[in-house]
Amino acid sequence: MDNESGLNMRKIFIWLSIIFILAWTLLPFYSLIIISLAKTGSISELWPKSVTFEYYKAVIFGSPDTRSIWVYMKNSVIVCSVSSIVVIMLSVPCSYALSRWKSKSSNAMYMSYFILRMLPPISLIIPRIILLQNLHLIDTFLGLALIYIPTQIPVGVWLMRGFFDSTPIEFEEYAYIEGATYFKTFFRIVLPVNTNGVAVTSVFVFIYCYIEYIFAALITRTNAITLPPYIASFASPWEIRFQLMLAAALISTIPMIVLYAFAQRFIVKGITVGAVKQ
Amino acid sequence: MERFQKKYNIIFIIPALIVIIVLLIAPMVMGIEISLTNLDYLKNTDSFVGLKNYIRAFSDKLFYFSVIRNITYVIIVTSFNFIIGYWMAIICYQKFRLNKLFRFIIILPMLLIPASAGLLWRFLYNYDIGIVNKALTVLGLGRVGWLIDPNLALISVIITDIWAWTPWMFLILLAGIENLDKHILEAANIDGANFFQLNKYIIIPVTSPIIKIAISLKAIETFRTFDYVWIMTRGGPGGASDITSTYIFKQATSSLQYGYSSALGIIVMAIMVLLTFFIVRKWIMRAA
Repeated sequence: MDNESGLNMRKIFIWLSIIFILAWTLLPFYSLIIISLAKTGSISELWPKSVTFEYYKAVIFGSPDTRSIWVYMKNSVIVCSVSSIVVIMLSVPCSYALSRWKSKSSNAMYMSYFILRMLPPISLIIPRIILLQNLHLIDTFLGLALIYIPTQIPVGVWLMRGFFDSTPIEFEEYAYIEGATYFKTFFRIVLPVNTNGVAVTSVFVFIYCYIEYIFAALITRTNAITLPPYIASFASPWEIRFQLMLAAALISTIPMIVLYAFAQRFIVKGITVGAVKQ
Repeated sequence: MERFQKKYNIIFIIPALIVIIVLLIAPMVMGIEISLTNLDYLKNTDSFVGLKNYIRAFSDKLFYFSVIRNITYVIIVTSFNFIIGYWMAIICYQKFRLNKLFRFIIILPMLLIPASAGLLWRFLYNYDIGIVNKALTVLGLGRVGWLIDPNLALISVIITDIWAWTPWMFLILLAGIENLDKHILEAANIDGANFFQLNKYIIIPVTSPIIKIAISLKAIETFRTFDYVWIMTRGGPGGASDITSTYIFKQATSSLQYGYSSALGIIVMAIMVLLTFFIVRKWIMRAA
């Protein structure tokens, strides 16, 4: 009897929690969708009486006073893909070497990479602006990539080392005994077993670049504007075009949904890998 | 063979290292150099002033307040992330229908670009048409100037940050809880432990390593935050919600005091490096 009422209490607690969590997570999204569909007059209604897709149309195809989102999504995808590819090419070998080379200096280097990963981006804005100005790289893809690549290499090293550390070393030893070179062992044996790790690391680096705002806002003017500053541009000091802004915000999640769906099994590993060392 | 391998290890490390030195360490050194000058594009000055900028920073009340606000921000965001994230994870660990869908819904805020999330909440907080004020009116309470009131601006941004990043905490904690040994939980159930005792005496102590990692990573990440405050309030009204990053950003972009803002940036960087070093030493890589 006592046990049963305890079970019921527990059930009530769980269901109340579920309702609260759903409301907390979904109400903002509800508002987002409602507003982006509401006609100008009914923006303040809780339930829109008249629905319109004109804002989505304006954001997707462009309109006389709205720039289409595709140019900026294309910019974002170009900058982020190039940066992630370069980051992977540089950080994967580095991470492998740090994982296999057990010494004080490799540990110290690994620690420094972690500290570099956690550097506040704000500390570097001045020298970076001045450097890019001197190199005439303000408002170019190359300029953005030159910022994203060094910022993300530590992320790549950190994530990949977790994967390499959990790869058994026996295969490699066997390959050496058979006479394979270091490079052959790395490309033929180590990399193929770690394709998952490389994929997850690229997804993470891509997402970190995709959501980056400070430098995207700071060094782009017209040609290289990426999605975050584009979305923010709907809110100027004198007016905020809420409907367009929210429609753009919703469309910009598409690449994120695709990437998370692709990497969902590894998200947690991606966050904690390398951190849990026994 | 040892030596042979070591040579190749170095070949693998060097390309990344060169890029880091040229594109990250060199700008850092340059930042330190600039911080020792009075480079200022409005007054058009650029000469060596020694540690003057640093001395000024330590007597700059506004900077001092922004650091205090930054610390408050990190403490509140991280603790609520943990509390709500843990609560979500415990609920998800229960068996009920549509559990998978429930998990997917919880992750949704993570899919928004932070800039979008900030703008969305700026709309929700809108004085006239925002859903928050409308809910308050329905409940018979008055409207509140969430982002306009200097006392509320920072708290409003903090709520947004909590909303947007709790899923991250949730994912890690859920993974930790799901990896628990089922036998321990069963044994505790048989012994008659209730739901709250189960959490307090079993789940939290056993998952504490992963909880420590999650909290410390989240705290460091939150220290670097910029997007939400900048997008939602620009540090306003009147600097009431300025944190270190927005304060430095303003010094650099509106006041164009490059020398001074560089010095502030270096101070923040020094704090972060020390903090990260000790956190990593103590909680993350202790077993290494």
